[in-house]
Amino acid sequence: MENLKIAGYGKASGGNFEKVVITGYGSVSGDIITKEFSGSGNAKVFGAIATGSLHYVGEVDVDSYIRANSIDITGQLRMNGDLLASIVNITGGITSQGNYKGKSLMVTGTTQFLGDVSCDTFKVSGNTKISGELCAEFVMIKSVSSKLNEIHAHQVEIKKQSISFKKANIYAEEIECTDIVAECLTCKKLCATNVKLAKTCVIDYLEYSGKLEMENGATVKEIVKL
Amino acid sequence: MISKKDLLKKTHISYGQLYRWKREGLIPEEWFIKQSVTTGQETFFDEDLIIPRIEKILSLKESDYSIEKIKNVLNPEIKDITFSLDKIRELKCFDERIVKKLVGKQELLNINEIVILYALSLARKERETFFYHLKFDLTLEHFKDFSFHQAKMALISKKHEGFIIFFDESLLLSDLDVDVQIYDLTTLEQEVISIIKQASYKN
Repeated sequence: MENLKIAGYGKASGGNFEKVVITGYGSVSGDIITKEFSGSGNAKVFGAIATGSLHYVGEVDVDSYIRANSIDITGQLRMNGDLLASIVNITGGITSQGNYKGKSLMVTGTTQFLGDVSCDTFKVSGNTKISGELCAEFVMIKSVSSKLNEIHAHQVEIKKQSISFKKANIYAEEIECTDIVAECLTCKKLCATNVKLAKTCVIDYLEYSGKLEMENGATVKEIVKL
Repeated sequence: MISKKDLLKKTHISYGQLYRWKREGLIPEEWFIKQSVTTGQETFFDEDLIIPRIEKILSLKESDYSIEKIKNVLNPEIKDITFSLDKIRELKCFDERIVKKLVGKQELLNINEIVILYALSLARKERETFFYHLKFDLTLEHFKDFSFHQAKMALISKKHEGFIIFFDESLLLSDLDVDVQIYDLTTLEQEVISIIKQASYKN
């Protein structure tokens, strides 16, 4: 099987390749199936990517979905479709119009999904927006400004990102989990077994069945102990 | 219907467990039914489905089954299962005349055979007269290992004769007098699987 290599500035058609290496500015029209996708610079794919690994430094724009075993990007990943990848590590940012399904999503930078996110570990440091459901075993969000719809998890940890002096606001419409430790959280409905809230939290409705620890100053409008 | 809150209380499982099983495919996503309540939205479940499913998962976990094994027990590969003729009849989507003509003394059918029965029943419903002059010598045995991937079934009638052929790519026809009706077996296979799954959730 052939390799696809673009160095400098170039355009190519998609297809089946052993390896795809894009260094500089490269655009590919059509779907790519490969074992390795790598390079640095700016890669634009007008189609989908199915790859074993995707390692890139720079910007990757994908018109459709990505299927991969592992993704490691220093830079930006922007995509219109779903992301199906076992392990995803991104330093920079990820924006997807679709869903994510995999084992681990770790991002330092901006994280944005218009759809649902489902994985074992969801660990982000940076501003996060998920319009669908975030369903994970372990959720850790360190942020200054984030907006999440539903978080369904075993363990949830929400913290203010320490690099900022700004007042943090991490908003979630609904959280249901076993254990939660949170600061700077604004939430309409929080249901959990064990809850630990810092003084910076504002919760409209809290329902818990195990232990509740609240710092003085935390605002909870309604508490129900099951 | 049972609310999520009541379900957790009744089964003594945590939110984490419930959502873990959802992610792992042990509880189908479509069982989580969202409904508007005075306080916003709440998730409900069909009690007859969810309680036995959770009890089953808990008992398998107690017997040290791995998640993968539990998944296989709960959602066995449909291709590996055989179905009794009585159960098939209960689905009420098969033409009894087709069943009688093709099944013979067989008591157990695999999914391929069921798809063929389903496709022919559907065809008979739509083209009753075609079956009056049908030449069909195949038996269900021929389809035991048939692959439905991109397969189609065509009803071909010319003058007063009718034939059924099964093929997997394109059918080229040159005789304009021939009347052909094509059924996509891949789609019908999915339809049958979904009917069987729906029925098995209830049992």
